[in-house]
Amino acid sequence: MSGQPNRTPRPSTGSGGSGARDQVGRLLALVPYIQARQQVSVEEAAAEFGVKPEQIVKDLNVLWFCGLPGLGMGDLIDVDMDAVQGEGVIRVSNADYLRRPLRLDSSEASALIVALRALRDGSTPEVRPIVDRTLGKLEAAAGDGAALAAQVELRLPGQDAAAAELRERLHAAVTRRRQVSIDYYVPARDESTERVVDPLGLVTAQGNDYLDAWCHLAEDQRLFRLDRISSAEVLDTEVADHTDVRPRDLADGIFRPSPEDAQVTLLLEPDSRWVAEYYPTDRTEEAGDGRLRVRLRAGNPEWLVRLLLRLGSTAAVEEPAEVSAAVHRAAVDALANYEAFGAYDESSSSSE
Amino acid sequence: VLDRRSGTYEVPEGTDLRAITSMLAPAPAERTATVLVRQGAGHGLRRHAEPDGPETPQGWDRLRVRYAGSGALADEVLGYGADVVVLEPAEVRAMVVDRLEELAGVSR
Repeated sequence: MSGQPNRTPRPSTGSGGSGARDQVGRLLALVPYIQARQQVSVEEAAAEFGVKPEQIVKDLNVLWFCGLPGLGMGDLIDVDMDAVQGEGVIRVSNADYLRRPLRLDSSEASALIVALRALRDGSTPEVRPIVDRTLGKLEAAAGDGAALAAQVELRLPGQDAAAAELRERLHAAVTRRRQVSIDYYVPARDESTERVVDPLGLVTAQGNDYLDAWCHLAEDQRLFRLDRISSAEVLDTEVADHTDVRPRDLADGIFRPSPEDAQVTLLLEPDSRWVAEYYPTDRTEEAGDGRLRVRLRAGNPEWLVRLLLRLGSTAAVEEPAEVSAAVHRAAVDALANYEAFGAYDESSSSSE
Repeated sequence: VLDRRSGTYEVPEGTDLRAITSMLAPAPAERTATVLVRQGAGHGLRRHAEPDGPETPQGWDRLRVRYAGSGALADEVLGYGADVVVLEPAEVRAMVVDRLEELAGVSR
């Protein structure tokens, strides 16, 4: 280090090295530094930036090749190299756009603030204070510039406090290798079951958080969607050894139909075409008039009947016939309820 | 209005971003329906329902369900087949009955 030892090099200039990264950082700080002072001696600049005077001269030799896109004579930063060589004094012009140190404009600051708020909602207790500190500094520094951020309201599904707490608890169980007893809802079977699982990890796919675990009830590896876990109790029991179980590769999606699953062919009216986007299909073909013929696999016949009850007349089962018979039967059973309970008798008697 | 810097634009005067975004968000579940749910079934529905009164047929629970739109509630109820019965409102009940009749091939 040269020059005046009582001066501390600016921390923002990094290690003061001659590498390209250090040099770019130094150049970006050097230009506003010089501009604020009209002219600076090479010695002084070197001391301020904690490098040798020769390094500053090298930097300046790069600087005068820099400028705005176009890089014509008028676009380049003008460094008076004669003054540098002769008087040891730096003068820079034609770089007014670098007068201020690098800073965020209002939309950049707002974008950062909004992003940090999103992080905050989903963060763990260790991370949250860091996010809060950063947010505090940024909001204070941005001042009115952060007004845009105030217009943005973030609501992330499943990111409320209860969900964050559950995720935290499961994460702890994964790291501490403890079994967890969960109450889990399976929509396809309309079942809520309590089961003990060995948690393997937390994964996120298609916008949902899942617990990857070995399920002692199913005696197999299963994924549990966090928003379907209604309660979770971490047990004292250590998890069994699952080194033979591979972590889930979710690149192909969550649901993987098995070749043994029953195949069905549905004819979807335009109102039900979403089914082909929502569930994995084996084949789809246009069937005219906006209708779509899809072939898909249903591992669980109950799930299929539920789906078809919802779709009603906007979907028809082409095969197999058992499925349409099951849907018909379910509809008849459900109608019988309406005859047994409530106001159905009055409304139907008039039309019979 | 496009700014000269690409990717930036002026927000038109009087724009209420909150109002626009909440318009795009799912409607809040402000209405309440009364349903019968077979005991041991309808778990998904139970997650946004609460008990409603004791006069209940044997083997059923009477619940109040919050919902946003009639069509969406009818869809949900239909998925439970014979395990859920809509008592009120009449509009949703009629919707469910109509669609069940279509499926059952009953003509009124």
